Amino acid sequence: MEVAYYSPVSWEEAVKLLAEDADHSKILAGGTDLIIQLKQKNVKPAAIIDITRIPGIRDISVNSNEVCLGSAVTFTQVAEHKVLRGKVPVLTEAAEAVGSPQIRNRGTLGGNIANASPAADVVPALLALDTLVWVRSIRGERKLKLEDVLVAPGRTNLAADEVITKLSFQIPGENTKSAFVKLGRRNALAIARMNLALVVTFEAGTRITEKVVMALGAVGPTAYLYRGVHEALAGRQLTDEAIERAAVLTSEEVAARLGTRSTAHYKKEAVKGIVYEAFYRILHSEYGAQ
Amino acid sequence: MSYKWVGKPIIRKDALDKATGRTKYMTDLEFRGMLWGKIVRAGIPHAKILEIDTTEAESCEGVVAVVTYKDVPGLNGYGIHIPDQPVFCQDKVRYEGDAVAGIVATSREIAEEAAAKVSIKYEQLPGVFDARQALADGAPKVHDNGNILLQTRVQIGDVDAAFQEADLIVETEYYTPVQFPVYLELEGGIGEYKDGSMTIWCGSQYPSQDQRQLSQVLSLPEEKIRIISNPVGGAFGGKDDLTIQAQLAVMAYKVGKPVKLVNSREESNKTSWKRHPMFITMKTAAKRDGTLLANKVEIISDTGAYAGLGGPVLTNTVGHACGSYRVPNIDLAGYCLYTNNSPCSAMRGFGVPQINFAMESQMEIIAEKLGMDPVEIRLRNSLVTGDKGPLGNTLPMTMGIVPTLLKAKESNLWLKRNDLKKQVSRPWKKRGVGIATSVKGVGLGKGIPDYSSVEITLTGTGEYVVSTGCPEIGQGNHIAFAQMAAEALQCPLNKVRIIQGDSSCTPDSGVTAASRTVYAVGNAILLAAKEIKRKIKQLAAEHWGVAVEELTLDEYKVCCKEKQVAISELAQLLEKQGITVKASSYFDMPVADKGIDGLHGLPHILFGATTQIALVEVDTKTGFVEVLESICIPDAGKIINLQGLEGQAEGGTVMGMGYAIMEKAEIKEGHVLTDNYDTYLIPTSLDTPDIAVHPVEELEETGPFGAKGIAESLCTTITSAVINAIYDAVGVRITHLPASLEEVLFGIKQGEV
Amino acid sequence: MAKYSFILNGKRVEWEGSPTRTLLQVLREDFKLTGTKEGCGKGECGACTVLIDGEAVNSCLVLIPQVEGHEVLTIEGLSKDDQLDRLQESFISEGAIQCGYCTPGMILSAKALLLKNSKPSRAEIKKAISGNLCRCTGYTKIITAVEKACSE
Repeated sequence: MEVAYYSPVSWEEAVKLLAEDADHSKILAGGTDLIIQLKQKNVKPAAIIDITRIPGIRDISVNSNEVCLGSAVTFTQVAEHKVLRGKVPVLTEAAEAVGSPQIRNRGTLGGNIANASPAADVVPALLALDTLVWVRSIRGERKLKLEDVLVAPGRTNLAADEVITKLSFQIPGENTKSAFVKLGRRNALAIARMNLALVVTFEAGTRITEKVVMALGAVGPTAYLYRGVHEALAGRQLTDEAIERAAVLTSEEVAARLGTRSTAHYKKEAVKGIVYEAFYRILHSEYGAQ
Repeated sequence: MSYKWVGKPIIRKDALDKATGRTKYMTDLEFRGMLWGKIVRAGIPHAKILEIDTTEAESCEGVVAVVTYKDVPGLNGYGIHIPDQPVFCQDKVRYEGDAVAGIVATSREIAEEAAAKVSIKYEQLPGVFDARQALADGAPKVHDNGNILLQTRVQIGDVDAAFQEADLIVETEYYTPVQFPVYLELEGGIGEYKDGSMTIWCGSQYPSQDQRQLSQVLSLPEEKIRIISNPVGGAFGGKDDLTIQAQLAVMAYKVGKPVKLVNSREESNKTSWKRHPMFITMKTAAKRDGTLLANKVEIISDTGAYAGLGGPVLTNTVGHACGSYRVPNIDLAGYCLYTNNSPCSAMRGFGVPQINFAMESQMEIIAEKLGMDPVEIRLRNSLVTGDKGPLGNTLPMTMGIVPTLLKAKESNLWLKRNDLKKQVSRPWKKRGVGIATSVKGVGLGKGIPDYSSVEITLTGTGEYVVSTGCPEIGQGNHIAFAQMAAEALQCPLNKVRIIQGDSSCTPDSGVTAASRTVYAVGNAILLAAKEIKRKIKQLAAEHWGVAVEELTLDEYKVCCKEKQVAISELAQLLEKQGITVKASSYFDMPVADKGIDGLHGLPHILFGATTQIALVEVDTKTGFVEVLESICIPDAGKIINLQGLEGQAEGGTVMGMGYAIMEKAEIKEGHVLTDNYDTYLIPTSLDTPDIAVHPVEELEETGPFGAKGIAESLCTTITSAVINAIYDAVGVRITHLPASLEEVLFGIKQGEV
Repeated sequence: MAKYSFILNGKRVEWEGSPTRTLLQVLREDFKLTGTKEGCGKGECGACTVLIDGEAVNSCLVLIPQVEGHEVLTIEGLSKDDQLDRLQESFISEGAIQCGYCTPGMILSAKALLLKNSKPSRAEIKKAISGNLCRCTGYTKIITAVEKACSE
């Protein structure tokens, strides 16, 4: 059976097409995951809706306190965005950690969320930035916290007739620094064994942490925010001991999350390494507040 | 000796077409009216076939034929060594990639869809997936004759007595995993059966061998089979034996039209010939001063469901069990077992990387226990020309081990290793420097026919056409051949044209494998060049009616006193008279003075040697290993083309490094789970160290211009160098490859307890 | 069946067929541009790399309607009137080519880099070609070739 291919040029058109046969339609943004699934016949949609020709869908807007990203913004666009690099290195580093240049040129932020891979690189970074996900359907528009979108591997809380239109988050203040760390089996074209996004806000001019936001990927069914480190570290000096404490707590968290899974033994130990690396980069970063 | 072409920086002739996308590989070909083939594979590792029903597939629109074992005209089996692999299985499947049927259809898509409609009823059989279990009594039998493909034992001297008198005995168990070849060009090509003759266009390392095998399968005389296999988009041993040629030939034979068949990468990862996984136990004895006394080795190799070259590979592993060293007492036992895993056969190094890893690890352990310098202990034991090798034969040819070790010792990486180790990128990371050395025999070894023929023809345009059956598989042998031919013919390089890998017009030059083509084909080129020069002079002498002795031959012309004629003119003249100036040669590889009864392919007497140093950084908190720098010091004899040698060294380094730290196949109950490159990982550009190549040139007088062969040694040594560097960094002795994140981190944690 | 139009190696072309055909299939099978290779079929090896609007992409992961109205450059379109691109020249002169199967994709990934950055560092070059696997060369001469192409 021939697949119908649509290239709507407005959101109205897109959601209308989607509503016609939502269960048998697939949204195409970058295509880097969908096309593999099509080839492997894991999905057999009746219709493919290519949303990349909708005006504004590749726009990045940064105003004084908010960043807004169209859902088809590519990883390359994010990775090479100088303003974002200065303000939210956690996100640009995550975008840069994705697969390969070819994949980064096509793969999109919206696609990364909608696919709900537990090892997606950009998702922990967006989680740590408290990102809002804007979705649309013929029933209207709504926004959700990213944390509430992710359900399980390959599953989100979005309805079949909903499509992600954009993402937004508040720009962290001047005293905030951030970093993203990926542990893979090699330095490119790697699926994350684990990844971690860290956003730390300091009290002005000190090494005292006000807020520590940590998101972890590939240690459970979805990437998630781990709040234990904030509880232990907030209001204290970010000393070597504090970092070790953060590493140990994260390790315990990972052990609890993974339980008896065969990967637990390794991951609970190795996560300490990526916690160390993230704090190291935050303390030695050339970007963000000094 | 100064040369005009040999050793000079000459650019590969094939590079231009490859850089512009003009090169047609065999899988790029397309014929008018061509059909598409698809192999139906078992998908289960061990089962009896009860019924094959092809009716539904045959009824699909666009399906031209469905072939099974019934359509194989001749021998339903292939395999260079033992033809135990069915072209299409009849009564039993022995691994998941086994071919059961073949679809020929008007498009690739139809062929793929129809393949899913062949209905095969099986009775599943218990499988065996571990070579040690395959050896046990009562193990499921992969073949009727049992699971042992080859069992060997070589005993020289008295190991027990040596262990008694030794100051130190080190016994270690090692495991080396399967390694995938990862050539980028998939197995595939076109077959066409027309007017009683079969032509196969398919990348292969040995067209004449394919021709012989397909002659059996198709029951056609060899001259009715033509194999064209040049160029090849990478092979690394994996295209030595047949890949899809036999199935393709049967399909093409059935339909009488050209059929194209290309494996998917998933099929390739499940069916390609791979490096044998091996369990190796090594017990080595040494004196206090580091002199090696004895080596007792047991090797258990898993060849998978079919023999492939499993026997010769094991023999070669045994033959290289003591590496680069003199060991007076040896007891080497080897077993090569059938299992229900994906078959293994030749892969770059041919059984040597496995055993070199074990031996070079032993050397480090011994050196440390004796408080010796790693270079000194190697120098003390290194084989030199004239020595008796561990297998009892004399080594009359150059041995490059000592010169490469001495050069390594003087390298910056080695001299400044303590400073380099201090420059860690993070406080919790640690650096280490490791060294290793290896030799790899050039050629097939005593007892296996190993010869090379070359033909040189002078054309009417004054061009020399040099034909050899050995294909160009990427390594650049064509440019080395051209340089050697131009040198030997004393002609300009652009007057030499190399023709390779077409069984209808190139002679049997043996296989493109075993690091042998520069030496074996090079020597054959020298012989043929000498002969054609003699013929040219003779014809010129006849032309002028003078004695041959009065003639001289130079780059462009034949001279006799004041008379001269350009070679191109002479060629034209002869062509008009219907005379073709042509010379053929036959070169036999030299072999050892002494063999070992019952073992074919041992010993070797011609060796390429490599010493290599690696600098690594280990993340002590995650186990991640990064290879930062490496220096590769090969001895290939005279270097014909330095750029080519460097390219081989750099590529070999990265391949051997992948084997050391990254390449890890997941195979569960005979199912290859790492069926594409998202899961079977090889190093990318970001994983690659800075590699320096500093060759030594020990001229080998039996070699063409003093050349030997080196391709395999170049991917062998680095593995041990990296593993030794990891030990230097964090004190973890990796005995089971690869040094994965988990192996390294758990090793570090264990050390901390 | 539908019709699509795009710029292929500088020329406007039209193609008609199923929208689920990949750009790789269309290039190789319909336009006979076999310089673009298939190595893995899932974006993991880079052998099928082409440029779309100057950016490197895996053509095995692009459906043909996605290139409608865009510019596609394959290895065959890189040299103009037999005048080689400097990258092609340097790949040849530096010995960056062995079996050659990764070469077209590798050169195009490097081209995409040079279009953005005319003086890349060695680290930037390594990163730009990190989506292109090569089993023969160990990447070293490829990296040097890219360096050389922008050094003159």
